[in-house]
Amino acid sequence: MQNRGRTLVSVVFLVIGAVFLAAGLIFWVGSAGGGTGFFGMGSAEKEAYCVVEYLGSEEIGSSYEGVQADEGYSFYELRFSVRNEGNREAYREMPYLYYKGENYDDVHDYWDTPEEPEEEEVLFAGYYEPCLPPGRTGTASQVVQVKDGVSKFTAVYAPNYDSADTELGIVLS
Amino acid sequence: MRCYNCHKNFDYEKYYGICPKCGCFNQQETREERHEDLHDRFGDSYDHKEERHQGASDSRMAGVSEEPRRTAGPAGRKRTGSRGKGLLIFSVIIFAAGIAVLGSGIRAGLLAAAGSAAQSDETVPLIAHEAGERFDFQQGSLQVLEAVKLADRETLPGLEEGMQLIAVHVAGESDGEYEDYNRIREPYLETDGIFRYSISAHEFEPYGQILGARPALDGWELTGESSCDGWYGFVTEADAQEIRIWFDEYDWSDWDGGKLLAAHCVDLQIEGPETEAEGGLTDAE
Repeated sequence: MQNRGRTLVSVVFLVIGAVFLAAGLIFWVGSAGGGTGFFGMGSAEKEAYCVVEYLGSEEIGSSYEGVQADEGYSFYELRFSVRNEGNREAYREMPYLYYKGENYDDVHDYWDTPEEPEEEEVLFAGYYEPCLPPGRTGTASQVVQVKDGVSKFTAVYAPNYDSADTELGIVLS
Repeated sequence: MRCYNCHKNFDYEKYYGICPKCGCFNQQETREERHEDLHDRFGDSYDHKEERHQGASDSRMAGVSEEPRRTAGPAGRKRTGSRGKGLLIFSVIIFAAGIAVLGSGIRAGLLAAAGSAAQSDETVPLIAHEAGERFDFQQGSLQVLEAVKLADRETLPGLEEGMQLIAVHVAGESDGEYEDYNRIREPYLETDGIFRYSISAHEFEPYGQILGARPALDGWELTGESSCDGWYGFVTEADAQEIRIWFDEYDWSDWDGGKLLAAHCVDLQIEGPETEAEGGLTDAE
């Protein structure tokens, strides 16, 4: 009876130990392979993490680069500072911003442009696009059409691809 | 016969040696009887006399063998008991190892999660240097000497409108070892808060040669070379006059693309294209 109890305890210890061992190895392999080891918790790879601040705006008027603003809208240039708090360069100078106002049509950040003749391939293609190295602060700007009478709205962006959206208040100056 | 396990007396012949109480099989014959049986079976008459006269250990063995089988009962229990104890010890070792591996695995996972996509808590040291100043960089040193305008859209129509091609003259030294720690991360050019990558040496080299900025440098210039002296090419706005070049210092032993230790910057004025832009040759050349 005593032997049987001891065997039972041994088997219980053995099974629990094996489960812990397997789970520990899974964590190790997961974290060493670039992940966090935790399911659904992203990866340990280096990434950019861009924090955007609104610096101010400038009214451009009703036309911009040959494009006429929609009726009841004006072009504004919004200026931002962007700080890369991550540990890898950002391949763009700023994360993508989308805008929302009190009404869905307060801000337009895209519009039709006149069709341009096909451009010849430029020398050093790819080296003109700005980037943002880690630990540094750059500047960026974006032109949008804002409905007349609207003076404030919100820009929404994600500092990196797996982070939550961040809202940024924009007050036109 | 008495059962060696439960000590019940039973009739060996009637129960064929199987204890009616506990079911244990009990052998009646001794080891010697079984030995004789083997001799009978194979018709062998060898009497083992010489072996019987060998040392005391053999005689002790013989003595043991002459004991009835039932005396082996407590010894058998002891062996079973020690096997059970061994299993328990093994299980406890596996359990402890499991706890240790799981704990360290969770810790590794948490560290990886903390160092992942999340914001870096460490601020990268930004170190400014003067043009021409030699500064320590990784296992060696670097020196940023000058920036020269090589071409604009008038002289090189393939450039994008409103942009110019410039070259930055850089000299460096290292221990000459062919090791990753001598790798130089390609520099960035900053103009009014806008950063751009340097043009790859492969793409810049032919234009640099034509326009007098040679040799073109790449990230492996100090790998296996004790010194280098050449040019990095960049495109920037045509009206830019003041620029800042950034060299990121890395610990390349980090498996995931290196660990950024510091960023060194040098402010430069872009000189006109009339300056002859020719750097020294690398050791290899």
